[in-house]
Amino acid sequence: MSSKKEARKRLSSLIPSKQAIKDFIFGLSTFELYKETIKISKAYENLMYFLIVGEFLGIPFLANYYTLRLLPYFIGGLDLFKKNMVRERDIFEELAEYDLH
Amino acid sequence: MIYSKYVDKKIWATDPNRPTPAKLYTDGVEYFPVSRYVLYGYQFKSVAALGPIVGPIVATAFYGWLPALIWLIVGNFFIGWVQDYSAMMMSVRNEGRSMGPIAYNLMGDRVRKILLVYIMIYLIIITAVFAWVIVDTLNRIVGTFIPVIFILFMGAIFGHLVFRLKVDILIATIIAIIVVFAGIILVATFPQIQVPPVNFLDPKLGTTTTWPGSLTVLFWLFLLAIIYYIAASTPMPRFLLPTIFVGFLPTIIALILVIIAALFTPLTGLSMAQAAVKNLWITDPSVFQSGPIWPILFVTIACGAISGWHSLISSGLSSKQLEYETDARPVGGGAMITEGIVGLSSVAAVAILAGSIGAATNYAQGAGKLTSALIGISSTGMTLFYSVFIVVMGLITSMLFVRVWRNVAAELFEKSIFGNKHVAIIVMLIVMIFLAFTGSWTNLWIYFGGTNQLLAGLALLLVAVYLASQKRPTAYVFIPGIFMAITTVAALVWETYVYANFLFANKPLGPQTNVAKVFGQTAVQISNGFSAVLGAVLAVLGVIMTTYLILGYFRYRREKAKSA
Repeated sequence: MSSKKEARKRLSSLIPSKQAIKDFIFGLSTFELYKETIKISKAYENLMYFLIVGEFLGIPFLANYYTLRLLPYFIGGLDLFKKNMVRERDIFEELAEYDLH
Repeated sequence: MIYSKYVDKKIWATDPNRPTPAKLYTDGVEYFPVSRYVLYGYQFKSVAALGPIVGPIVATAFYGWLPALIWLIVGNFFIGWVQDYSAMMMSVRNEGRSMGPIAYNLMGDRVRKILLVYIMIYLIIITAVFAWVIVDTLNRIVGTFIPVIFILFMGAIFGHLVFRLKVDILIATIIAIIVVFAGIILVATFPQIQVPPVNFLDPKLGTTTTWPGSLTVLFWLFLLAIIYYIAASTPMPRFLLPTIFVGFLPTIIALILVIIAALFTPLTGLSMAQAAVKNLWITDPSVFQSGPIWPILFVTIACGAISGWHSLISSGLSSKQLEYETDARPVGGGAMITEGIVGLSSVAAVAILAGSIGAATNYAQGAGKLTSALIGISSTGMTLFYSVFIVVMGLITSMLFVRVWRNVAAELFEKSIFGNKHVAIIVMLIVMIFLAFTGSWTNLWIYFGGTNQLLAGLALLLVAVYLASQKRPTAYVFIPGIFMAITTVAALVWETYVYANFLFANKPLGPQTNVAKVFGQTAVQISNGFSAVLGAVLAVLGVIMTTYLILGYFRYRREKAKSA
């Protein structure tokens, strides 16, 4: 009896759940677009950060009134921006992003 | 299963509690953990393109379906998944870094630079090969062009809808699916709009073959060059990114359908019509297609059995989103096994056809026949669907080749004019047109397979170097790595010999007869000379790279012995 139960349990573990199928379809169809969109939005965000903290880095944007007004809203993400900026990047990573074969 | 469990537990000793780069460096952009099912789908989508479809067709045409079947199964089970999985694990243990930086750390800058040059040559060859596959399909399966136009326009509109008008992605996707399938159904229903006819600019050439050197081929190649130029020079969200998304919608359906149809052949009653085994040992270079089964079969089928490009995808992409180390086996290894099934379905699709095979159009016919028997839609309609699938798959990947080429050129020739994006794109498109217009695509395909497989051998050897540096067992990657490196260099030398043989004999190589007729023998000689030099350069670079890696491997082994 117990061996039958075990066999049934093993069989049901082989059948993917509804969530697993959903995840698979998402990965197959939309995940790439999702990732690329996030990357583009992050690039714009980085640009915004650059405009805001540029003056502190010695780049004369001459808009310090607005940058100082905006700074409090952006201060929370400053650490991530710094990490993003100093992270070592390699052309091989870009090569890997695309399906080239 | 047993072998993969052994490698996973005993060699890499994966631990679900060890933090992965996705958790350590979470930034929500490149590093973030996702479910293994999402990643498995993504990895499969990234590795399964036109490669596992075209390679098995060519191999079946060369040697029959049985050797192709055996290599797909053996290669995939003992080398293919090993490479994908190991590259992923190596990257996970190296902060999610890609093969290039890891090679730089272990071996120095020279190895990384040679690898980049190698990739540039790879990109030129594969773009020329895919250009020929697309042109041949557009020319010979009439009606393919209009649905492809629908897809390209829908790509641009989808980008506008999602990125500019902020339309919900689900609604935009539904619109895209409707438009894409409307294009196919429209052309399948109304034969009057199945244009242009075969060889429409060269009516004297008949309607059975696409001839290199013909005006029709030149027309299609120029059209492709324009599309590639737009895709490579405009911002990603405007055209390329949405076109990839829209283009992959029908291709996913096509892939799943053909796999199911191949599995159900015992019920649909279709049987093999091709020879199981033929021409295993051709050593006469004047028989320009094929060659001795070793090494040619092992480079003809690259993707599906083992593919070097996967090592880049596994190491630089998926490894950054892996939630647990233990997920590497189902994601890296599992996706590769699934790609093997795509390769097997491709063999099934062409093996059921009688007569001569060897072109991508045969795949469209075979897949059309397979799926038509399963779902009851007319074989002609399904053939059109699969020819659209081939062209779109080829177009999407080729647009990316050109874009990536432009970026690699900028990296390598930073301070010269070749680093300029427009110059780099135009140079590549000229070489692509020249090779596709004057060459024999099956021979170029072997070059592509050679470069791809050598990349695989190098990736395996790099993993061996890494494991040696970590004092772990290395035989399971070192032996396949050496086998792949020797085999592929031998294949490149053979193909160089074939081109050189035709060059010195001052003869056109098979389909080049039409080029010789229209443009003179000199054009053929330039093409064959260029191809021979290309093959020789690839072989020499391959030998240099392999030597560096083997020396590095033994250096780390000696250090290990000393420290013990």
